[in-house]
Amino acid sequence: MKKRGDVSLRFLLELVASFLVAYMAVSVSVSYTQGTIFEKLHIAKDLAMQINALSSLPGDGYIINTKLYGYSLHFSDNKVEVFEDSADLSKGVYYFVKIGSNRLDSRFSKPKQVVISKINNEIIITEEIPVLK
Amino acid sequence: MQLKAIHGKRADISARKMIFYGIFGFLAAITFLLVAWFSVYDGSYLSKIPPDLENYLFVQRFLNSNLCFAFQDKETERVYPWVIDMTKFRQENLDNCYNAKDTNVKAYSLTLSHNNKKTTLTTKNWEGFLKKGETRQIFVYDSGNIRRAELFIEMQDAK
Repeated sequence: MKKRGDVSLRFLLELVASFLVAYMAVSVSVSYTQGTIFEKLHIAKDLAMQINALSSLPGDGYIINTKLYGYSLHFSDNKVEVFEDSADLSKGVYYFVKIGSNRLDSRFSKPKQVVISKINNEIIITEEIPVLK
Repeated sequence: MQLKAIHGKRADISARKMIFYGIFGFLAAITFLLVAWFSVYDGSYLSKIPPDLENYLFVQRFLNSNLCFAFQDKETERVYPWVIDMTKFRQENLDNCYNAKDTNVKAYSLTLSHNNKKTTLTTKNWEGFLKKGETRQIFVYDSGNIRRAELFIEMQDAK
């Protein structure tokens, strides 16, 4: 036997679910229309290409990135993620193959610049410019 | 009388609700797809990278990096790009310099032809389907001598 309270609880759940779906749809649509998803993907691909390029360098070197447009970055072992915040539904993600044996797990929250460097056959990512020998 | 007609039965309200949600869901999905479809043409060029750039960088790695196969003089520590050290042309070295565990990145098979011998190495994510192949004229450092050789590079696209 159903009570009146059951109906209103179901309605509440439906309302929350529909708001959630609407928020997701609008959020992804807005990021598409503003081109931010392509901007994030562009930055992710650019950074991944830089890691690949430095990995093919016979010696040491570094590349400074200043045009990051206020996005946050996460470099893990084989991919780079570009996003506005951790709840971002449309992250820019691209894969790379790094050289060396050290594990890569660097997070940067809206950095002003990021420096990707290859020193002693290892890829290192910092906000400061390294000193090369 | 009119009020009674509207709130007559609970089933009427439920049916109308279902129709409303159905139409709303359909229109919302269409709107979302239309917005996404139009914007792809406007902004997707931003994230395109030149074709073959990635492949070029990986091939350069195989030929230039001392962690891969490039010959390095022990005394001066100078690395000689495009000169493959025969002692380094091993699976262990390839796995160390191109540690690709999954198929999100390009896969490679390298066949070195030198001194009437062929040696083939493949990356961990190689699945055996040729997408593109190219032959590079290179040099090898073998027992103190530098000789001409051929390197056949096969590539598979990332999935």
